[in-house]
Amino acid sequence: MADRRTLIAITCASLIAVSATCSPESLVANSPLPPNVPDPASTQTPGGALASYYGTLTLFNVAFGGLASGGDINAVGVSGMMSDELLAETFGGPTGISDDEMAIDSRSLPEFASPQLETSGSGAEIYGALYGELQAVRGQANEARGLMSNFGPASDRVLIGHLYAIQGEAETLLADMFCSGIPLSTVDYNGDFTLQPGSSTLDVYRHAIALYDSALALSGDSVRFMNLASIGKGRALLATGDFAGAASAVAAIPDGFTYLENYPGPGIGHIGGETQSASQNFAAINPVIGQWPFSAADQEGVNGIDFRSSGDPRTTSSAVGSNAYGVTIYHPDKYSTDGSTPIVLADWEEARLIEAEAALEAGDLGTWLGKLNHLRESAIDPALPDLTDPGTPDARVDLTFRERAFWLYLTGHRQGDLRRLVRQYGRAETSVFPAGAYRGEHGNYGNDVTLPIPSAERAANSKFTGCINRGA
Amino acid sequence: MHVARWFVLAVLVGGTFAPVRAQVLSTSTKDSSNTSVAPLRRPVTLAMHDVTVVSAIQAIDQQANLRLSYTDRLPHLDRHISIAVTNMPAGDALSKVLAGTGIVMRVTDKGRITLVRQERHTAIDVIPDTVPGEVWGRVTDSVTSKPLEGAIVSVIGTKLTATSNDSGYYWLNPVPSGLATIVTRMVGFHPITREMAVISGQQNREDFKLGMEMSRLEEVVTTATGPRRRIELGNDITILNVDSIAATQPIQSVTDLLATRVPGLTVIRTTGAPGDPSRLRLRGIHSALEDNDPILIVDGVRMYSDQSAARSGNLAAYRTSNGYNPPAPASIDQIDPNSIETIEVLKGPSAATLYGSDAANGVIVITTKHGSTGPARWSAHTDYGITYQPGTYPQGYYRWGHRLGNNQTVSCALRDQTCVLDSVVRFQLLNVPLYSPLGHGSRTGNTLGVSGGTNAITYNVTGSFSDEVGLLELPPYEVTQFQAEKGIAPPSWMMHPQHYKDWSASTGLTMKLSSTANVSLQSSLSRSNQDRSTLEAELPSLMAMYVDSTNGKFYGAIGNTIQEQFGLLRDFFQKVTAQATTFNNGVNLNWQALPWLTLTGDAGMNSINRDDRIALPRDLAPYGPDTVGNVSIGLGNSLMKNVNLRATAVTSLPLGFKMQTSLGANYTGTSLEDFQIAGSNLAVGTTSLNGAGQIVEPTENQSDLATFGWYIEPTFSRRNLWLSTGLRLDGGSTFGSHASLPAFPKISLSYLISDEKFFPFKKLFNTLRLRAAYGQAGVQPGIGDKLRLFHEQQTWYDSGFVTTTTLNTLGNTHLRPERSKEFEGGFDADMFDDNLTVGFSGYQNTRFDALIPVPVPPSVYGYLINSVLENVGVIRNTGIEISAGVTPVRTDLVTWGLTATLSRNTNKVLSLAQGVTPFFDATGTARVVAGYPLYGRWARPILGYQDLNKNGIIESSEVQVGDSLVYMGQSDPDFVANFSTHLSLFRSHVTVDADFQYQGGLTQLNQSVLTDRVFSQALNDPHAALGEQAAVAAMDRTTYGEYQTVSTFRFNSLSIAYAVPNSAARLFRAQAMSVALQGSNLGLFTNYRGKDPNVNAYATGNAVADTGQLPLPRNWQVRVSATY
Repeated sequence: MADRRTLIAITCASLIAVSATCSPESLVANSPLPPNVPDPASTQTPGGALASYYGTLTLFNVAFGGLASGGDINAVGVSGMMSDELLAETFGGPTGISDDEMAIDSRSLPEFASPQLETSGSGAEIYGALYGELQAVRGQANEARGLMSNFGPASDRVLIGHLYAIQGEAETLLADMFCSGIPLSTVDYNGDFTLQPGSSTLDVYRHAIALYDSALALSGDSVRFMNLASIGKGRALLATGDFAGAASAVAAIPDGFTYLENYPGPGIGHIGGETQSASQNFAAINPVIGQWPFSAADQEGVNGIDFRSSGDPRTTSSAVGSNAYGVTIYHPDKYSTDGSTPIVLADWEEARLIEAEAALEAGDLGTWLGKLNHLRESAIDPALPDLTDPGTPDARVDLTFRERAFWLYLTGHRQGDLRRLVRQYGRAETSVFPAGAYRGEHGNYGNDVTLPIPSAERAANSKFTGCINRGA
Repeated sequence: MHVARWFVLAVLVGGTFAPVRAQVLSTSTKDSSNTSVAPLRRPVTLAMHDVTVVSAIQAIDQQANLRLSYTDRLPHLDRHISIAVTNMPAGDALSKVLAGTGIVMRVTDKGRITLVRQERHTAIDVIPDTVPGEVWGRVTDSVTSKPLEGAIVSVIGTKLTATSNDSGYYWLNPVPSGLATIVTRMVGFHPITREMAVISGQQNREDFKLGMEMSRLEEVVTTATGPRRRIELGNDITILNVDSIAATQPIQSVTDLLATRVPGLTVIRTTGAPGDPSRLRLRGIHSALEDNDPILIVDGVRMYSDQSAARSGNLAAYRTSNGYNPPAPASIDQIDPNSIETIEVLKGPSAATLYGSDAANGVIVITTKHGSTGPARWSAHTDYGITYQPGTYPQGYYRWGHRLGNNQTVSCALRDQTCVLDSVVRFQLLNVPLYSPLGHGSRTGNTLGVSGGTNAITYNVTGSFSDEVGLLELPPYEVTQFQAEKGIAPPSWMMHPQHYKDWSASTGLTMKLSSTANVSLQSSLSRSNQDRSTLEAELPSLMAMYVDSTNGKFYGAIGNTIQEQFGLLRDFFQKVTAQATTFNNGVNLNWQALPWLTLTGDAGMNSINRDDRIALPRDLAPYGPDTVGNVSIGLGNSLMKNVNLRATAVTSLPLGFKMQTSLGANYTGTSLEDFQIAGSNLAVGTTSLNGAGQIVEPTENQSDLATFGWYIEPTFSRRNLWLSTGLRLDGGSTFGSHASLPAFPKISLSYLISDEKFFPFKKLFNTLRLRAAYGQAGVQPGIGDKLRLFHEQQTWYDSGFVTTTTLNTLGNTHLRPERSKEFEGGFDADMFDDNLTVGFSGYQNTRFDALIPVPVPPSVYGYLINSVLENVGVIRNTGIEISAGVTPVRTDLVTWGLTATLSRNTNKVLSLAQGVTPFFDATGTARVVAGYPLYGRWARPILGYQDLNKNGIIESSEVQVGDSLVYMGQSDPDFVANFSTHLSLFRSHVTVDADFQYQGGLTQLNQSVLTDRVFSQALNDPHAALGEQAAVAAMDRTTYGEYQTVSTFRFNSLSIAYAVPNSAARLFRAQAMSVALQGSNLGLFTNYRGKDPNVNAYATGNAVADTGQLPLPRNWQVRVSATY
């Protein structure tokens, strides 16, 4: 009996010893990735590279004019609020309007030294998210280019050019919206990331121009991508003050070219019977609460353009209900209320406007007026009456920018244009941006003409010390 | 036989030891020179079931060769009993057999052992006699009256020692007649020394009721390699005897048990809401990772307790409209404290090396009750209490004035030169019942338990239920508004949104499979339901709100300005629920396969199922357009499985040394599955997805992790010296396929120097133990931390769905495991006849290659990637821990004891790796800088201020703010002291217990100061100190004024208990009853400007901030306890 027990004991002890000395690695080291985490190796295929390419495009699609989780965090919406295109109407705050949207709409956007100072209502929730979305496009574009270069089929190399152009658009929007001092940090394909200090507004535009040049060099097989890059380059060159260069960049854009960001609207985005969100544009009326988070502005803040009251067919709008205080909300007729209307990212109209402004800058008044009237005759049906030369340089500039405001209404251009008026034409900020009493009961407009960089950047980027300049 | 033993030993230690002559182990007592009692100390092993008493006596007689004398006329010799003992002294075994028979042993002065009938004596004769007497009695817990097994009863001045059996009985014989001093000791209890008269030739009864004490050297500690006596370990390990604490303290959770009783442990509460979690940190912030949580082991089974993980919050979080991110109850508090026998706290790598790399932040080992032999013993208690918020909130200032020029009535800021002041009012809505949501809460709790057993099986079953309604309630003003708008009264959950219910059932069972093997089974099932609402998140804004009584308008702080508010509350209509169902079970098998070889196996699993929801019922929002309802649902499951196998061999070595070698392996697998979905446009009357008009955003997260390790621990001992060494090799799926296998060594030394002959202070020290320990542990990077991972989904683009991928993590292929090395040294002393106990520990814990989630700025990849893990440098924690217990008064009528623990911890980032620059954590509130504490507080300093325009007011432009950040303090307390006192009156019929805690060194971020600043005295009262004005005026540029290094002294709890006379208890058919009045959070004395610095807005991570969340409430309750 004792011998038997001894034998069992020794056997068990030996089993424990053997199990203890076997390789732990062999038991547990090769656990598979969780099923919800794609195997990194799957991206290193032609299909994976293409998925990364589409990842870039969809990130930009949302950042430019789509509905993210916040509903109004996109370049078109924020540009509209900062400028005279849109009024903030998002419900939620103690004043009846979301404090964050109101801070942007009223241009009261102090730059904070640390995240904990960015309290609710400072606007940081909105502009911080927009900043992140546009920067994510930059990072993803770089990642996708790496995958496309290494694993994409040779026939798709033109898509790499497309990625350069999209990144250029993201950087142009960053430069239009945010203060001077935007860090253009990089995440390297298959490697590390590199932090960068803030770049001046001018340097960001120049960086975007270089991206457009790369796009042009690689997009030869795609007229669509070439034209997108050309118009983008023209827009960025215009922002740097290189009017002639801008006109040259867009000279080859044929009438009728349009590059659209498409949004399917409700009822289309279904997978497996479940409705997908974030497939509508900024103009969608929230089907749940039945309210649009903006209202089309008219002569906002003294200096605003009479978008609505002018009766101009390019900027008409219709009442779609009222806010919590009973104030009527206007929705632009240009866009459907279900958020399914495409938004123009770049088109021939912008090309002609760039050429017109360059001609004005060069003193070629005939070309200037001709380009503007060509658009009024060809780009809308029925045609608009021709414009006449108002006779003074300032009035010509006013007319040019008014035409830009109407043609490019709610496409994310207006904020950049207002800044250019200050920067390139010497206009006072208070004569360009909405000013004076803010909507009657909420104090006055602030003095900010740019969005600050969110303090999360300062907290994590040792090379970034804040905006270089909050001016235009 | 011997060859077999050495074969196993050779396997265990790798064949490095040469065989020496083995000796059969015995459990003989200290002295065997007394020939009269020596036979009774011979070990016997019995496994007899349903045999007569005489058969058992004969078996003992035969094994120990006692040569017993007795007659068959003794009573109850034919009674049937069962007995199973292993290597038990024959005397103790005989006592077990004879218990309750009326038969006792007598030993003559010539060593002859006789069994005789027990005789009654009616008088005590204090007459010295050469014939010895006998002493017997029962040892019980003074609080619970439960029998104590294993108490050591000794006669001072003799070598006589006995151990109480599982019914608490002991027996001493022969005891010299006359006056004798008898001392009774038991691990975890105060010893009792008592003089008594031993009557010659008589049986003298003396019972002892032992009171709990914090720690003793003889306590048995559960280590990774099995139970050890504390004295054998080189580490300081805190052991809590839960029944004794719970009997005299208002304990409602495991966190309550730990909060003020473990030196080196800091507990930071999340909020004062019922059921909210706490952050536990042992010996400071060890790891720079967010996860600094100790691991939790219940009866050998790992329990999921990653309180720092993001999923510890409400799984349906980020859906509330006012940005409220509610935490969820902690898994450690899913354990019913009433089911726990002991809690042991291992504080660092030097103690926890063999638990594996997960244990680098300490280990909390919980042992549940498994019962003891004897008839079924029922115990029950019921509580009823109330909670409320003590004190009042500080008042704010509001300046009424009119505008120059148009006479418009406005809020007239102090610095507004265009305004003429009319009046200054002081206010605080939270102090006004009409507007305040601070009311009264209540709590009831009930527990019923039964334990008992036979020699073959013991059991314990405990069931508990508690129901707590929090103190928050919808302000009467808002109730009226709601009724006016909706035409109905607010639903009950909206009126009293905080509701926490939990119930638990647990069983523990130990069965003897044979004389050398037993198996323990434990199982528990618990469920907690926590309800709350977004009303909680309104407290900060209510603190900074003013109501104009003339027109009923509300004014609040928006940034730097005062603006009219839409109403009193922005949001109180979203219901937040968190439900967790926890199932623990485990099995433990012990087999003493051979006298020198023990085999142990543990296996178990812990499963936690969660169902969290945030819902806005349709049509219940009193204002605003979102009236169609929405719901967000988070479902989660964690499953931990573990298996431990261990072999322990003991052998004797030359020169009186003994070696014990343990070899073991363990495996822990963790599976996490979380699923989130949301819907809107809900069906009327529901908060369900059924019938929802829109279902959006389903997300799923899964992960499977596993760790495997093996260890060896040879321990050498010789009389009063224990040297333990060990090595653990760790592997795991989190290591990455190319990582090397980390090896973690340990060594510890324990030396009972007071037992040495040369020890010169024997009169001063009853015992003095010196100890030292060194150990290593590590923290592994997660698998996703090394890899660049992607997020893939189907996304609509242009004209249809396409597959898109975006980056999910950046990855860092250069990561190395974090390694922690800890040295600990100290001593334990019992002094002045055990009236004073002192323990001291000093430690230094150094983390190399510290893993830190370095924030990635949005310029890299937006907010889709916020951080990347890096090995950033070296972090060191250095500290001391002191514990002391003293009993200044110890009489039959009155006992008064005091205990105190003090701990001091200094934390510093020694260096940052090359290329790593100082950075803020993800919250942006704490920073990592070499030479300063990890996650210290930093801010741009106020360098000076001057009233340049001589208007008596400091304006922002008159404050000079430095450009460079300066260090403000550390984010966890560096000094913690706990004091407790126990007063027992009238032979323990009345007991008074109180405990207090002091904390210092915590630099708190008081964000409510930021919110309130427009209503602050500094901004509104020109008589405010200029320094205060400067601090507030500069808040648009620096958080300098928000930081405060705080000291707190909290009257933590008070309990006054009365033991009902037995005659009264019997009216309720109870053996014993007690009634106690108990209170907690009874006082707070602090220099903090906010309401309560010991609550934290962050449920995860390492940051600490007070944003104005609900402070800890005050609680008073009555507890009635009874045993049957």
